[in-house]
Amino acid sequence: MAPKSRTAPRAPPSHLLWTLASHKGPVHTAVYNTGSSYFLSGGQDRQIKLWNPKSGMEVKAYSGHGYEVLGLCCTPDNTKFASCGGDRSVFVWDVATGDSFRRFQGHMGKVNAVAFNSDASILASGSFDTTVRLWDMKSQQRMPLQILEEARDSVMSVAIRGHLIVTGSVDGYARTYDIRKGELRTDFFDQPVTSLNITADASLVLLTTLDSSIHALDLDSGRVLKSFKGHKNTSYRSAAAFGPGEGSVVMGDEDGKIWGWDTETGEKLGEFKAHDRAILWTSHHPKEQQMLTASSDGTVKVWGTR
Amino acid sequence: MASARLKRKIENADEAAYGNLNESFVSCGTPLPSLADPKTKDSNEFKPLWQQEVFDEQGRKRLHGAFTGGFSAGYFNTVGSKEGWTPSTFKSSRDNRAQGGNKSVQDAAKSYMDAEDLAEMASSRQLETSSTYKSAPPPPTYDPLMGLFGGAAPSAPTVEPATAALASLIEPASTRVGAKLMRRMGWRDGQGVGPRVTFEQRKKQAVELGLKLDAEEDDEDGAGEASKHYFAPLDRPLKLLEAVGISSDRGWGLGYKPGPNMAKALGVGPVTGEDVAIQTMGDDDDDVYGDSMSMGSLAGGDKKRYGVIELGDEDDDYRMAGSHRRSRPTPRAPPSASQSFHDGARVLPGFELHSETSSGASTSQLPPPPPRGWTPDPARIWTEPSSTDSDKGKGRQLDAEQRGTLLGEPAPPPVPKSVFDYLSAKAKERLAFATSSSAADALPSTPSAPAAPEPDAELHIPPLDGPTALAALKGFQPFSNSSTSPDPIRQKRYTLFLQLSAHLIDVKGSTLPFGPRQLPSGKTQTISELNRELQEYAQAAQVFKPVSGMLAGRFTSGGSGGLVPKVEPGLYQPPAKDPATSSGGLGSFAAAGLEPQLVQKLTPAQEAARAGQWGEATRTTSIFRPAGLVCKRFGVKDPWKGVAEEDIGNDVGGAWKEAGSTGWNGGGGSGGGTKEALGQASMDALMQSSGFKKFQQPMYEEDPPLEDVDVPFSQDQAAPAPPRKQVEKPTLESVGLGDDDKQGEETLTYTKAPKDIFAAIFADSDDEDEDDDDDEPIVQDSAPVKSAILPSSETTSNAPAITSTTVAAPTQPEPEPEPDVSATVLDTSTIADYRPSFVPTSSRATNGTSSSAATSGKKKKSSKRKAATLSFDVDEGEEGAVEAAPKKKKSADGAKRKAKKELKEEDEWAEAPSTVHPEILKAAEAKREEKGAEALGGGRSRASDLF
Repeated sequence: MAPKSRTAPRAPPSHLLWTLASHKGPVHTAVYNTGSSYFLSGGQDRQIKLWNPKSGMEVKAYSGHGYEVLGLCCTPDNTKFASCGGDRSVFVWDVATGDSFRRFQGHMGKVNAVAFNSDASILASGSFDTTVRLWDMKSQQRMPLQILEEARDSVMSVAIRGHLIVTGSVDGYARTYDIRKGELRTDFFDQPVTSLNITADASLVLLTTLDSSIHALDLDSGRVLKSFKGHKNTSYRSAAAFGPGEGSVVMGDEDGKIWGWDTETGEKLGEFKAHDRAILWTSHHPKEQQMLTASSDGTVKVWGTR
Repeated sequence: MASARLKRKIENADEAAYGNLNESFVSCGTPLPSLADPKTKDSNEFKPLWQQEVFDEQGRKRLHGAFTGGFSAGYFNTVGSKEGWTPSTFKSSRDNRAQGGNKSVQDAAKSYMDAEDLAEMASSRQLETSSTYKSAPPPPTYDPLMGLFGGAAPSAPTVEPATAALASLIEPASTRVGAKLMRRMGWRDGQGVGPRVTFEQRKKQAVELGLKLDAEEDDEDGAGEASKHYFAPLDRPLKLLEAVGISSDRGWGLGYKPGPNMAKALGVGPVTGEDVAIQTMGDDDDDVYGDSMSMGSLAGGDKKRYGVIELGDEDDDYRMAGSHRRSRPTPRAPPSASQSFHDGARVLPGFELHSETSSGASTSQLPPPPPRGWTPDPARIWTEPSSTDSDKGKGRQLDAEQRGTLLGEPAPPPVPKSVFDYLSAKAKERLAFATSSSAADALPSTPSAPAAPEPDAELHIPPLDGPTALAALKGFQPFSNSSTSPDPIRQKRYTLFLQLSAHLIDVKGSTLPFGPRQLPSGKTQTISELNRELQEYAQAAQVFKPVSGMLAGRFTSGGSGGLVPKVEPGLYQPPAKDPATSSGGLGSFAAAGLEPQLVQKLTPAQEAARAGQWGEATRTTSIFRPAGLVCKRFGVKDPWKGVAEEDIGNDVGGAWKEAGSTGWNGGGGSGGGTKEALGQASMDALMQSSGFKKFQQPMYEEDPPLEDVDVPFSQDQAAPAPPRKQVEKPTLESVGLGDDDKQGEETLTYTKAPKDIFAAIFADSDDEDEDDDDDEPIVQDSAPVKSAILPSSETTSNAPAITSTTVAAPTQPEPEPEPDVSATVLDTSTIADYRPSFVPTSSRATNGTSSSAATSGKKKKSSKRKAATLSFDVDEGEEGAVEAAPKKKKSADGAKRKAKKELKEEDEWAEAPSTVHPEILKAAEAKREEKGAEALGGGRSRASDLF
């Protein structure tokens, strides 16, 4: 079922490379840039920081948010990134200058997730106000191009891959908006869907639900190919991630442990304690054995192999 | 240098020596008002600069801004016109030099004064009587008023300066408005007011007034001449009050005359306090009149000569010098009809002129001794107005209504409801409780009758004015059965109290209807408790009296409509809907058909999700209409370009879905044409569409919702399905509200096209039978269509859809006797049979339940994927095929809508039985099987047959 391109699964990297503790307060998200040579982290301290995971250096700090930063997304050309958070607006930053040159306002609640499409012409933002707004990055228009209002509860995550926009909502649905087909496919998980990860070929969606499980959803059929369980995820939004080559699935749970599973078989590959407190975000380098965990203990840890 | 040295010196010096060196003794400018002081708070504090306004001390706006006139002091103070300085035109003062000469200085000064200066000047002026009001030298003619003071007879024109000054105080201005008006109306000075009288009447009047007419008028011959004329009535002579005249007695009040003092008056006999009060009142009255009388008598005969000018003033012949006038009745005169006041007005019948004079004020500071045996009892005074006085004055105390009835007016409109009629029972109870809280507190807490009599243990009936009591009688009765705390005894007493207060019942003497009653505890009320109870009644009457007049119209009854459902507060939470069915019309039917307790249970999707069986059960597919620009940004074609919004809406392909879900193609082996209405609608759409090819193609490819919607039902075939067509009758509670699924449906008034239209469209077929049902021709029409479609159909699964319909046509059964029953109740098996068989995934899903789950899953998945890829391949390669889909949809739009409508209004549409009996179906199915085998020769099988 899984694409053949997936490499042989490996246990999540457990060697701590760096502990980056310059955020004050919980770190909500830590995402790689396109190309995965840097990563961005956003936290409760309203700061966005750009790091070099190899050296552990803080490259730049972006301040401008008035509330916590909840979501980050980098454009494919790495010149800009978008951030969102408690201030109900979406910021678009220039990576080099550190200015937020765009600010999209219109959400009525805090914005949980942002996502660019493949050419960064569309920025999607999912909010607590149950809507997903599609902002036009190419024009100076400040109104959203479209508002997706199907969700009945807070939209926790948005992911775009190709012509698909996938949203996960607390109402227990993962919604796949097929722009090309003009179709909305709604998949029901009886639990709040907190995070989404689409595979490169847009066939699978890795989504976490608050019943301590991760599901690999086949976007075509709506069937769950595998469910990954064992960890604890019942109250926080915590993102799972595909390991290198999408052969494994990693996720940090609320106990501060990192879990790894084989994507294909669903077998547990490893589990180790990484943080003292809940891990709120896990990102894995798409190719290398390198992993980021952002935790509510205020640190971002970079994991690698020896 | 010097300053530097000084600075150093200061720095080096200690604080004590030069502590005040830093202190500044110079202040420049006006200090800003303290920010903390609320009095001097800047009203412009929160305004932006351009909105701030400046006012001068008098609160006027004088600074207008540069472009609107600048500092306006010039205009307001000097210039005199808004536009600016107007040069005054030259005006010769030659003509009015005298005037201009004497006013020039003042006016010139005034013209340079602004409003403040003028106001200052005005305030500095002394108030004095203007020249017009100053007493002019007395006119040569006799003035009655002046005569009084100056004692000036017409013959004696000079007046003493003292009296003249005194008179000037009283002398009216010559131009009083009243006098002017009177003159305008024909009155002349010195005449009386009223209609003209004859000579005889005038004479009589003169006698009554105690005036003496002129001797000439008294003449007999004059009377003869005078009787021919009407005369103005005589003027009523003015009477000067005493105290004014006696200027020496400055200490006395108006009309006061020294007389017998209070003690003397009291000494006459034993009197009660009340009597004293009345007597003193009487004395006062007496003083005003009686003593002035005596003063009048003192004034002397020649002083009291009243001139009466009659018939104009052209002649003095009619002037009459009033002689001595003694109109005052003798002080001790017995009361009689002839009694009159000093000015001649008759004493009203029933009244008696009190002429008792009182002696001078008592010099003693001591209060008069109370009568013997008198004890202070304030309660008696308090009770008097309510009981005895009101009783006494009952005859006069008519309210508007009573007067109206006396006058024979029509009865007023019914008393408007009280606010309290609109209150809920609970609120009323609370109110009643609040008003009776004191009594309620007291009642249970009284342990027994108090041993010692309370000092004020006297029955005191609280005063309540009659109209209020009357209104309260008509208003809400706080103790009646309609209230929340019915208490018949209290209600009776309350009513009694109100009646008493409204004087509806007569109370003789001091016997009141109220007495201490038996309390529920068996004890007798004490007087204080009784008082409290009555007090409570009075309060209740005040509170519960109806709103009067205009205010009443402002209230509307909140609880008048028992029909209106109570709107629940808070957010509306839609009931949990089956996500698998939320996308289409079928879903709404399923949701409506579910029992309430079933709704509470897990939905199939929930069950599936919990069981970990994600897939069709948990997936819903619906239309998503991306914005054009979004499509552009994503680099894809707008999938719904050119398709109207309502065409796709929420349910994919309206009629197609319904047709498919309700057995339009008769899939699953059941008899074709079972759903006549739907089948017909679909067939209509089919006919009106441009061709079968176009219609079938998207049917197959673009209608995945069909299967998805259908799956939950097809999966639990074993379980008896809920009645499907049981569309909930809208109840009064749900109509128009949030959870009314059919909200606004009736507005889309759908009228079925008359039969002849159908006939006109479909009657071209040869084998049309007039006697058949509506759907008969259609179904039969499909036969040639079928033949037309078969060669062109590219997919195998198109065929069963058509074949089933056409095969069913000959076996068209009779309409069901109870069409609505059969229409609403459908067996699960039939539902499954209605499932469109031309959708491969759907049929596989249904079949999957019977066959092994694992294989079916695999197959399904693969097939599904294939379908998906196929659709996209088509997009790339076979552009026309995909393009055909929307076009076809559009063309079939009307039919689809019709079909939808029919589906919804099925229970009302009796003439076209929508279903057939299952047994007939079975028979039909058997027949069809044979026929189908014959017709198709096994060439095509349904998609479900493949498994």
